Amino acid sequence: MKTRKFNFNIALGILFLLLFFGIGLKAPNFFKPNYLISVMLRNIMELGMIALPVTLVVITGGIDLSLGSIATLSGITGGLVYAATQSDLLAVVCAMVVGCLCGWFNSLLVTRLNIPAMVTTLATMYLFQGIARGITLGNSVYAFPAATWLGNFQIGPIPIQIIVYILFAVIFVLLLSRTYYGKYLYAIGLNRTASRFAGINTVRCENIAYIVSGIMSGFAGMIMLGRFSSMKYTAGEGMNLKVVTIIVLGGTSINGGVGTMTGTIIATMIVAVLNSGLTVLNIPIDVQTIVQGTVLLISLVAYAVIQKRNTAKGRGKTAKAGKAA
Amino acid sequence: MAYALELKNITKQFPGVLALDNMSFQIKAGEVHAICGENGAGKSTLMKVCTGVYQPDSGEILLGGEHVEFRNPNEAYHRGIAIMYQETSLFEKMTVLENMFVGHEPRRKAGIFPVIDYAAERAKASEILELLESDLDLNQSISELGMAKKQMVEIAKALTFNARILILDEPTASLTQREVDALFDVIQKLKKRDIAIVYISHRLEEIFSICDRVTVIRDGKYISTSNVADTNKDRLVADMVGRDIGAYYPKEKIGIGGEVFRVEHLMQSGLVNDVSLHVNKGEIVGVAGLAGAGRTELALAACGFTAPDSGKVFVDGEQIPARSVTKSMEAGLVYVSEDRGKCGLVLDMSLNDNISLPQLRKFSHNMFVDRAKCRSVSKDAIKQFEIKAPSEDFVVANLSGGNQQKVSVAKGIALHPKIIILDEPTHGVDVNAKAEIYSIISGFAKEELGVLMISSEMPELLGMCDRIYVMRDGLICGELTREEATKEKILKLALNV
Amino acid sequence: MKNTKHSKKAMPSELALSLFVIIIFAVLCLVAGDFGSVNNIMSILNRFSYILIASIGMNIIMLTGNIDVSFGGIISVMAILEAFIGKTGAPIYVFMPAAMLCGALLCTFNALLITKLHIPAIVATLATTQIYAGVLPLLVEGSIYDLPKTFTWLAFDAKVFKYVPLSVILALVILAVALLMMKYSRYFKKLYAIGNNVKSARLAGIDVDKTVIVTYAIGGLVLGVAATIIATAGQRVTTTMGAGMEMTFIAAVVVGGTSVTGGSGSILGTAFGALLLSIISPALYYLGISDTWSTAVMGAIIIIAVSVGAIKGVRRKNAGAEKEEAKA
Repeated sequence: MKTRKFNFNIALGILFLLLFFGIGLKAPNFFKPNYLISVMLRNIMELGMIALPVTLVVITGGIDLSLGSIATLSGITGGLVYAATQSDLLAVVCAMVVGCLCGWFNSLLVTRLNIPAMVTTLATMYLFQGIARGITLGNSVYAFPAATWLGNFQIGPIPIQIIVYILFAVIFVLLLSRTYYGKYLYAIGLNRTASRFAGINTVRCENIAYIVSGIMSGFAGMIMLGRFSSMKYTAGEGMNLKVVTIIVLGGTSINGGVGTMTGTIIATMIVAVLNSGLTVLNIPIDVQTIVQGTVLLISLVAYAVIQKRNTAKGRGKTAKAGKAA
Repeated sequence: MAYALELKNITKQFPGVLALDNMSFQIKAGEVHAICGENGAGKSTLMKVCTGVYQPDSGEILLGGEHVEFRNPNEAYHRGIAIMYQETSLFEKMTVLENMFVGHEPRRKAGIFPVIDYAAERAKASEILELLESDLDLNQSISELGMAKKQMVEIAKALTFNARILILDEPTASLTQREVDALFDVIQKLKKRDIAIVYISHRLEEIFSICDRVTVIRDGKYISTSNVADTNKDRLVADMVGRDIGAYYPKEKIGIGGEVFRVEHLMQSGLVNDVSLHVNKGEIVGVAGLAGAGRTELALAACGFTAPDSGKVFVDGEQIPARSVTKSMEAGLVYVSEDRGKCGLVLDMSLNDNISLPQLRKFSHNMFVDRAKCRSVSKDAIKQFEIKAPSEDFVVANLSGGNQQKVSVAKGIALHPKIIILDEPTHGVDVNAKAEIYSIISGFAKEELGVLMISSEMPELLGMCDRIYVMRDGLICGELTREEATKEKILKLALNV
Repeated sequence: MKNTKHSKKAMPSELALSLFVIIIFAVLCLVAGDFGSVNNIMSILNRFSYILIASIGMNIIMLTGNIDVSFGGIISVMAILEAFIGKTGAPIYVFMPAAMLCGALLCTFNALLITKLHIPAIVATLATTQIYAGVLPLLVEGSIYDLPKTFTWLAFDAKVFKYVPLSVILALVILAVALLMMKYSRYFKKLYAIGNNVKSARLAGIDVDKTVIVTYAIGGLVLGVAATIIATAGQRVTTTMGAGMEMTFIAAVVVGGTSVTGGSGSILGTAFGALLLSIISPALYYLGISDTWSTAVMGAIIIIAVSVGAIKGVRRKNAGAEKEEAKA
């Protein structure tokens, strides 16, 4: 099973290189490091960051469709708190707390009340966005200094978000592949009952995944606020689809139990190349959404086909290994 | 007169396995015909061929003398062969009436539109329920019914197809004795209607009490058919096993030490009624009883998977807190579930992952897993249990039932428990693997650790255990030593006779 | 031996919901100014008609355990399509069937992804909604306006008995058909069976793939009617007319008691759910609460509805188990 995942990531890597150089050949401006950093990478950072913990959620068999709304609500909360108190510290703290609370609320409904994650987060997506809409009365909220710093500060030529993303990426890769918590998540995604019988506290593991997703969404929300210097309640719309696209493209099964963080990261880069590449080739933004949806579909189809081929192989093996009862 | 069902030279081959080998036998109308065989003998494949799930590679099936071919289960149903599996295939959120007719509801014309004819449904349903003398409520949702009633619905459903042959696959596995009697009454009624019943079961007592004839199969081949009146259990077992049973149970006499596990007055409303028992070091203690006696519930409550209402559990003299699986495991109390597919193993993970899963945290430094340690533990377990797998990275789902069960037990033993509770450890395991597992269990006891073995198989209990507790209705109703235990005594206690 | 009496088929949840909605309505009429005015009732009825129709389509899909979050995007597509046709002066009986056909095709595409490629419904429709909605801005700049009277006929001029808008009649007709089919058609039983247990449904001889595809197609068809009501409400049709509407329909279905995993639920419950959802916006307005809170309220309602359903489900399972214990 390990080798299959490896091959998949390699295939993804090759796809990335093909796209990267393919677009670069057509539009040499693409290769300018300035462009690569400030357009290609920068625009994907928030999505990329959120995709990291949400991968954990999807591996346990869940999903978080409210991530865009959490990001929006957190960013807006930060902005409003700053406007009221002029305190950077308080604004940041409140934004992160909001993200944490939203994630906690999701986890409560999913793990304690056993409501399917899809419906829960579909509803909370609406709820959180609605709250953001209500508290701002539909108006925009302006960035505060800490957010602006997060969104724009650069160390040399590299924006701080990219550095932070790299840091997070490393942490999450290690978390999922090397720690016992990561293994637990895979077990839960494959067989929740057996995991419980093995002594795993499945409720706590899942709660952590949802809460971290909430916190990360909140953090990303602040970055967004800083980058665009203002935010409206609609800011997070469509983010959930983009993140799910990245995660599924990266080889994580939407049913849980299968997937790698490395895959998510490579997929993030692929989506980054697609988005910025299409811009460079002067393809309108609206087409980009279509491309996104199509890319998601193609990756799902490809995954389904691979699955079918593997189960057919496996079925043969099972019959050979055991007597038919 | 033609037979109700006749199989002629049926062969079914799967990649690498010859599941059915030139099998032929006949079932008469109005008889209760048992099919016996060890796990792996081919009973399940045979039934699947009869009911259209599989198509035979060669041979023919005759229904009432007529040649038939089923391309799918639904065709078999419509021709009058119905099967009731252990896991009922009913729709939980729909009503009894809906379940009975789903897929083939009678219709009438209302103007130009075809609508479901509820009047006809109710009439037919009433007729069937009257025949079965059942008090099923047609408007009740299936989710509210217990296993016995669900089976009744399945039988009623089969009768809506005017089934001539009804196959029952281990029907009494989850029934209380009273429910078993009720089922047997229904079977008698069906017999009077000339319906043939194929009865698949491991429970020889039942076969001798309700069946007319019994067919034994082994390794996909037909072995024998006899009238129940003309044969006995020993002969059946001999036919099924084909070899000397003596070699099975290698429980040696070893020195028994002090107490390692004790349960005091454990209670859980309705399921466990004041149970107290103990296990000493080096002992293998059995827990016998029929389905529904509360044995698994007792184990789950004692280990912390469910919350008992009251009672204390001691390991090595120290009380362990209730409702905490982690603390129980830390104290050395380990439970190996009877359902390895659902509870015991994560089938899509490797042997290595499965065996190290319960101890993963222990094998980690600062959250990072010590992979070398996991591997060495897994390799040891594979060697110790003689698990037949190419490597520890092999996915468990691809192992045979017997080897899977070994992994499940190995997982528990790798924790170095002081007391291990095995729930039906050889359930669904073939003869060879069974012997190997018994040998391992004995070896385990030899190392001065305690084993509590929940089992429904008499030979297993009588052969392996130093003492046997018998449970009934959530209580311990008897305790027998190895010397005094006999099948009759155990059964009598279990049945309250 | 005569059979024992059979219990009345349980219907407390729909009854409770209908009472709840009626009480809320009554309270609003009393408390909030002109809530009971003819104008307001008319506007509510208009909203109710398209929400009900679309929710019925969503309901049958959800009964099978699936979902379709591309309804909103499809409405936008259908609205633009209708505007294209309607601009030429073609009457409603030309552009509505066109929209219905379009809806059926798009939903069938969704269903094929789900049944033939085994892509989970939520993800498949999440992808297609982007594609459907994404294509529109390429074809049309912003919106189509100056639509002729033949186009807006349904909203402004079509009245039965001088008062009742045709849209409401359409909705009630569709509701009636759905209710009859729910009780008397084999098709509906198949939906429940699939939602309960796909494997058992196959064993019972149900062609699951075909049934699911047909269901989505029907959903698309009725969605065409709903889209027509929405599109013809004014002289302008934008490319984002339906955006986000699927949430309202899902809410109506879920509040109406349909289980999110499928297998149980009723059209009647969905009808009351749709009614409840159609009074939220006007209710907030008349209560003096800013409309900006309507989204939040909608989300909260869904959460409360599923939570209540989840808690009740657990309680029912325990009660059932106890009943059996007592008998055994």
